[in-house]
Amino acid sequence: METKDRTRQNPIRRLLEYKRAMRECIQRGADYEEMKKITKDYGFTLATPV
Amino acid sequence: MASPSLLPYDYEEIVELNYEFVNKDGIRYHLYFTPMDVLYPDMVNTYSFNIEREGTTPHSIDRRIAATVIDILRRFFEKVENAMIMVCDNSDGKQEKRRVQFNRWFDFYNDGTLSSRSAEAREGYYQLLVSIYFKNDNPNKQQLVRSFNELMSRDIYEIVV
Repeated sequence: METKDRTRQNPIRRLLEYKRAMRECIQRGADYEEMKKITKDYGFTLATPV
Repeated sequence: MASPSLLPYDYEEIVELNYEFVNKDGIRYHLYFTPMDVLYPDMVNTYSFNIEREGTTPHSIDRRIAATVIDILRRFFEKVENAMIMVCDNSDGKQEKRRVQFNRWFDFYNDGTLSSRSAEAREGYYQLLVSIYFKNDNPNKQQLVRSFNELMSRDIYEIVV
């Protein structure tokens, strides 16, 4: 399956698409591992060292 | 003491800056902060705030959800360097509703120690609403505002779909 290089997207578009993907994922009650995978696919992190 | 109907729900921090709680209707809510420095390195300690719920069934008005969000925001802004970005788009037609809802929470929480900047992009039917919130004494305030303005002037034009 072709993997889209999301890091080359417009940053705001990438953020919006990530939010939509997470919304869909959470709405159907997906588990945390799936959320982590989506987050990683979009180049973000869920656990954030501050 | 606050009325029990205005107390925050018990929430769990799943990992840092990621929270979950279940409301009186049994609906699970997820609140998470996404670091923005991945996209904009100048936006230090800046996070996109998101709140989503499981399922789509309608539920009754629940003021404890607001109390819970406010409690989490209070914790978030205890670190004075933290800043938050709120992005609402109209992919599901609920962007105005979300913004009004969030502004209501924010106004309730803000005791005058927070500032914000907002911007809006429109093209045909498409609408994008973006706001940034930060403490007045955030040491990176000027840099954040500059980065936010650059973001809006540089990156929004490609968003139109």
